[in-house]
Formats: sequence, C-alpha cells, structure tokens
Amino acid sequence: MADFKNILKYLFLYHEPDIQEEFILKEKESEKAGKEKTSERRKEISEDKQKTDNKSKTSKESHESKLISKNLTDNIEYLKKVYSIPTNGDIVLREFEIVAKDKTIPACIIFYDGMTDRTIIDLAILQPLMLLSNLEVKDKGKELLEYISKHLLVHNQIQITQNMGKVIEDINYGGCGVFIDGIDAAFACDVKGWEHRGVDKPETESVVRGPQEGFTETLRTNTALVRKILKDEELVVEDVSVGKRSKTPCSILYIKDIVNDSLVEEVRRRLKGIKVDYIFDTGDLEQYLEDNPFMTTPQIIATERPDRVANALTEGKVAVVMSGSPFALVMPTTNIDLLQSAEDTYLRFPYVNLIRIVRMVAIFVSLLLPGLYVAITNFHHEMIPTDLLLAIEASREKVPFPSVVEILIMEFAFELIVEAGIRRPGQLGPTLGIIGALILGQAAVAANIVSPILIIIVAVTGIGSFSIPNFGLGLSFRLLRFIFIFLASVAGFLGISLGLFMYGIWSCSVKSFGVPFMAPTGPKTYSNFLEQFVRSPIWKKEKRPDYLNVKKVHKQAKISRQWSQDNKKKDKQQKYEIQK
Amino acid sequence: MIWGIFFIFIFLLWISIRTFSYGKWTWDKKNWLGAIMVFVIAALILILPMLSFYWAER
Repeated sequence: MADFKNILKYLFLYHEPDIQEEFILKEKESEKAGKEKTSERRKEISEDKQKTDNKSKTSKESHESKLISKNLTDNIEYLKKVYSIPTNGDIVLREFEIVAKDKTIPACIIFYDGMTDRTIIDLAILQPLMLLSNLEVKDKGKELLEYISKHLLVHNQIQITQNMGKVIEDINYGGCGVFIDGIDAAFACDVKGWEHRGVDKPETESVVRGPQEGFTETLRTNTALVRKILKDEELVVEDVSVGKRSKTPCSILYIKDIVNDSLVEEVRRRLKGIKVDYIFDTGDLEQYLEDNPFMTTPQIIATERPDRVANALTEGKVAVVMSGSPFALVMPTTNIDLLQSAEDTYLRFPYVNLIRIVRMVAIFVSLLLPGLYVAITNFHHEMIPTDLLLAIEASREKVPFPSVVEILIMEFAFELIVEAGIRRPGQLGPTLGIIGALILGQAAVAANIVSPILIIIVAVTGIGSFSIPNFGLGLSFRLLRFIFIFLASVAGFLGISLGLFMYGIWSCSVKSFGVPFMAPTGPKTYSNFLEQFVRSPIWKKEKRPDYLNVKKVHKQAKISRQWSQDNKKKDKQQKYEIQK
Repeated sequence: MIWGIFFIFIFLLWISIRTFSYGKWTWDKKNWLGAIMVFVIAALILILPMLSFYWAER
C-alpha cells in the first residue's frame, strides 16, 4: 500500500530535481569555482567506481606507465609481446647496427607497413644511422643521445621520450620508434604515409556559390583546410585523443580571443570524459557528446564544409575534427542553426530570405502535411472548400482502407524507396527511385489501394523533407511525421496541437553545451535577434550571437562600408564648393 | 474519437495536476507571481480543450 502511495506521489507531484544542470555557459570567472567543485566530486565518485569495477589492469594500461629500458633486448622482447610479433603481419621490426664514437651499437626500428612512408624511413632515418654514423664530428664530448638526435637523425619531426606508452601510441598512428642499446629513451618519428582520399567536393552539402572543398578522412588535412580559410594566429588547434584503446586523435578548434573559455573547457571535459575502447567516426562522437541523447533533433551540427566550420569559429563556437571522419562537429547549436545552409552567407540577402521562407514551408510540409490530411479527412471536413472535399471523397470512393491506413502504407513505401535508393550503389539508386515513385505509385492508384491525392501528399512531403538543409533534422522530422499521423488519427487537430505543444516544451527544455536550444527565441536574446529569422544585409551583421557570451561582441565596425561614407563626404564637399 | 478524447483528457488531467504541484512548489519557494502564473497554466490546460470541445459540439 505504501509503495502504491509512493508511485502515485511520484506520478502526480512535482519533485525538486536531484541533479542540477551539469554545465552552464558562464560569463564571469568568479562563477566557475562553485560549479567545478560538483563536477570534480562527480569525477572522483566515477573514478572510484571504475577502480572497484576493473580490479585487474589490462596490459594496455600497464605499458602506458612503462619506462624504456637501457637494454635493447628487453625493449625488443617487450615490443614483440605488445605487437604479437611474428603473428602480426603488418608490423616491421628491423634490427641494425650503428657505429658511433668508434663503437658498434645495436639498434632497432619498428613501424607499421602501409601506414608509414618507407622512403622517408629509408632516407631520413635508416640511411644516416647505418651509413653516416661513423663520420667525424667536431664536438666529440656530446652524449650519445644528443649526438644521434642532433647529427644523425635528419628527419624533421622527432620526439625523444622515455615513456614506452608514448612510443607505442605514435607507432599506432603511423609513426616509427627507434630504440638504441644503452639509451633509456626512444626516438618517436612522425613518418605517416598511408593512402588517403584527396580533398573533394562535399557530397552532402553542395552549394552553387562558395568554396567547393570538403573535409577528408585525414585529421591534419582537415585542420589545415580550416586554418587556410581563417589565416589567424589566434586559431587554436588543440589535440585530444579519444578512446581508451584506439586513442583516436581529435582536434578541438577555436579562436582563442573570441570564444568563451568555459565553452572550450566544457568541450575538453566531455571529450576527455568519454570512456570507450574504440571510436570510429564523429557520428559516434556526437552521440557521446550531446546533452540530450533521447531528443530526436540533433544538438550538434555535423558538417563536411571547412568554410562552414570557419564561419562558426568566427561566431565564437567550437569545432571538433577527428581522424578518420570527413565530418566536423560544431557546437553549441540552436534550432535556427539547423535551418541554415552554408550558402546563406555567400548569397545576397533578398535571395536568402526567399530560400529561408521556402525552407520553413518545407519543414511545415514535411512534419505536418500527412497528419493534416488525416485530421481533415477524418474530423474536420468543414476546413476545406466543398468542391475539394467532394474531389477527395470521390478519389477515395473505391479505396477499401481508412485514410490513416492508406497514408501509413504510402509513407512506409516511400521510406522503403528512400532507404533502398541510398543502399543501392551507383546508377541503380536513381533508377530504383523512378521505379518506386512512378511505377509503384501509378500501379497502387490503378489497383485502388491508395487515392491519387495521397500520392501527391506523400510526394510533396518527401520533397519537403529533402529540402531541410540539415540531414539529422530531416531524419528527425521523418520520424516525428509518423507520431503526428497517429495523433491526428486519434484526435484530429487537437492531437496535432498536443503534439506541437509537447514538442515545443521538449525543445525549450533542451540545451546544447549550455546554450538553450531555442535561443534566441526562448530565452529571447537581443543581439542579432531578427538576424536569426530574416537575413539582413551583410554590413548590418555587426555583432556575434549574444547567447554565446563571446569575448569580443563586435565582428565588424559599425560602418563597415567605409567607402560609401567617403563618397557622401565628397559629394557634400563638392556641393558646398559649388554653392560657394 | 470518444476513446481518443478520453485518453487525451486523462493525459491532460495528469499534466494539470503535476503542473499544479509545481505551482505549489514555486509558491513554497516564495515566488508568488510565478506560482500564480503556473496555477493559471494548470487551469488552462484543462479549461481550453474543454471549451474547444464545447464549441465543437455546438
């Protein structure tokens, strides 16, 4: 009985939430102290829990703290154990000898075949060590380690480390490790040279105006593409690795003197707080980073356009790029950001406003049109002109199903066509679309399974969902569409209103990295409020978004077209002289 | 339709009671104006759909 009372209390009475918001974008330095305490405490608790859970340490964790031995044989044995040599086929362990200071010293080099550039290894590492090591060097008093690093290894990127874990990490990411007998350190050389795709056109975000370069799977190419656009020394590319085993390299990108420091801290904290063995793509990373995983709408923008990332960075946002993924993540994100495309910045403002209206209509159509059709045909006949109603009813005369079943059949058929079109390679995809849309649609009408007007509704809905610029948002609306069809079939317009009301409340409660998802409308922020809906001329965009609490609010001068003012001054002067 | 309305009414009633409870919590926190507005919303959650049904029936 007491349990039942508790359940009723839990269901019907409001309880103060136990866990407060984890992260709020702060404006003042003084506010930080209190918040960090709770996050640190939570971190401690989770670490304690982990310690009890994983009592036995894996070998992976143990070699991170292992130091390099002075004895080369010990090091080789250890590497053989770690890399499963000789079972492992693509790892190369080459033993050789160098002659330095009139002594023959055994050495070895280890690297992955296929991930490294063999020419660099041969010419810049092996050749000097094996052939030039007996050359006369004037300063003979130098230590062996210093002598090798300063005179023999001619490669341009070398790190000397005493930590075995660091060398292994470098080898795993296309580097090579050089071990020398008698030295308790190793040389980790960057000799990456794997096959990769070149910079190509972005597949999912093509534009008419604007750059045609897209991200690739190579991390440094991606960061270089952004740096090439911004050309700003304040742009920071901070390296972080994610994944306990994979140690996938990621980079946090931000402009140091614009971005809110607490935002960068939060992104860094979340990235470092991901406890997973392997991570493959920014799609995975997005799901680990986002605030509300159960919200259908994406809360982080994934883009394959470097110019879009650069634009977001100048606004004061933070981007994360990851090795192996041609998509960058931009955060925080608001709902308006999801409705804007990369082209919006490059086109003149009247066209952009027209396109934005079209997009709004597309969203409305994609989300609600099938639901509205069901609501009108089942409950609210008085809403449409009589002639149209008669036409709809006449077309549905021979259809044996209720309108909700009819629309569900067609929506599922459409989803099938879309899914099959994506999965089929090359030229088969569009062919499948044509067969599905034209032939099946025609046949379904001829067989009286669906009415002709429904084909129009499903087609318009489909086109509408493809007009949404963000792929994730499009998918979200495809899912929500079915919920609205259900609600409309149960209670007509009342059901649709209820659905919109619930979705609105849900959206208002969501935050993306401390920024309310509905900003700048809920809560309303004043700077650039109208800009979010209506694109003003480019010279009017003086301020960065208010909700980001950036260090520098203005991004251009109040009068950015200074030449127009100069012209006015000249005209005035001329008139004055003529009058004189 | 009747069943749909019934379930929606039950759902709205639940939301209204919970919202009212939130209003009480707000009142206890001495946010008088906020609490009054929440009470108004709790009432409207039930009243508006009922009115819309009443008008639809007429």
